Amino acid sequence: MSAERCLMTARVDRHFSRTLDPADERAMREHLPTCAQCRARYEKQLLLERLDPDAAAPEARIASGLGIGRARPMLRAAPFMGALALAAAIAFLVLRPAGPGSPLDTGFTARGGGGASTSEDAAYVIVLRGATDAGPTRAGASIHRNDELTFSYGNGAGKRYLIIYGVDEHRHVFWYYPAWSDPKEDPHSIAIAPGAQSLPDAVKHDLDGKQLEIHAVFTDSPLTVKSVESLISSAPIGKTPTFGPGSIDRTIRFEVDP
Amino acid sequence: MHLALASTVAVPHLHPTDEAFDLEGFHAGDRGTLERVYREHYTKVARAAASVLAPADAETVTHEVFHRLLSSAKMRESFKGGELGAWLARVAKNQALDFRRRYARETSLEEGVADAPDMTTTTTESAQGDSLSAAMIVERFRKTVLPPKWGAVFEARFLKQLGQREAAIALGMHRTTLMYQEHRIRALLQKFVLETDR
Repeated sequence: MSAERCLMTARVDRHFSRTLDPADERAMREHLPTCAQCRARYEKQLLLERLDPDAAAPEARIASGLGIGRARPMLRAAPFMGALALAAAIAFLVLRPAGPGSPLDTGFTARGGGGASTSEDAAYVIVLRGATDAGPTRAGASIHRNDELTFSYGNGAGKRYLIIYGVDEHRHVFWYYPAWSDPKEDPHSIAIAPGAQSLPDAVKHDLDGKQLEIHAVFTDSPLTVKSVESLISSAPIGKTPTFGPGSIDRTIRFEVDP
Repeated sequence: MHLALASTVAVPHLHPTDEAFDLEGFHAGDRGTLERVYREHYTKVARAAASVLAPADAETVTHEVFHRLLSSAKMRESFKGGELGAWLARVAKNQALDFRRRYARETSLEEGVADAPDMTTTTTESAQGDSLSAAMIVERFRKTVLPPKWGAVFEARFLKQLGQREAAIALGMHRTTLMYQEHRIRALLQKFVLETDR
């Protein structure tokens, strides 16, 4: 049996993250019955879906592949309590290394290894969005353009600074941390503490794109917003800029609902 | 204290004489009508397909039925009236049977092709096999990967499927602590399941 991974397995993963467009969904569906590797992947993803209490219902997932509406995930949603009560309003978003369609990979700790993750694994961000009173919401693959976003981070990597920004398909950059409201200023990364922390501000931008890629960049030295914007604009289209040695860039993509 | 909730939801049938059902719009492929049909009859279609096929294939057939409904005026026009849900369920079952015949035949022709999937197990055998396999994977995950300190959260949220608030209360922990652990467990579980050979 070939040890090479079938290229279509990436589409299987994207189906489950609801980021596969209908044309690619069709191709995946036609391929699936003929490929044991992809069927095995599909079945594994089904198992994860059954176990994950926050997974979207299959109905919503299959609707997404059909291009049917913006099928709302059948999840309970948490009340959004604002900046002073972040713990009560959380949407877990899947974190993945930079790169489209890559499977989830935030680290692996063998039992008995002292519980320590690699430093990269220990740097993460949780994105929160306002929701209803029914309980926490996993935002999944989409946010609304008018959502206020709040953030918590984990800094087990011992980094000293953090920036959080979003960039859409037009390369418009939206700053979450640091705040940047005066073009004459050039604010720099926020200083961060070790461990798991919540950031205080709920930030809303007037998003005008259909997709938003959030970047949380952990560094040892501060970055300035203008230097970051320069890096973004000079990076080849579709490529994430690099922020220097030792930096950790956590990214996640959203569809932006109107 | 355990609070048991029970609710029943009456799902309205789409019937030609029901003022809410727009047969003409359905035939014409009105998007809103078709999306409503999807939401109201998804479960029937999925169950009909799952009565014949294993889960992955059943979802492919479910997708195919609704894809045809969305894209084929001829298919929509073949529904002349009556219980739309029952009609869709029959379409799904027939399509599932065709699917099973087709891929079983293709498998039998592909001698020695190691990658050809096995379509010959019955749905019952497949479901039993899947459950056993899933239980073994979960058990291996617990024994070899999951840090013991996160075992209670794994059990409460992933196995018992308690809500976050309910789980936090049951475990006597802050909700943010539970969410952090759940996040880490989810990452470990995803990596374990997706990268383990079954």
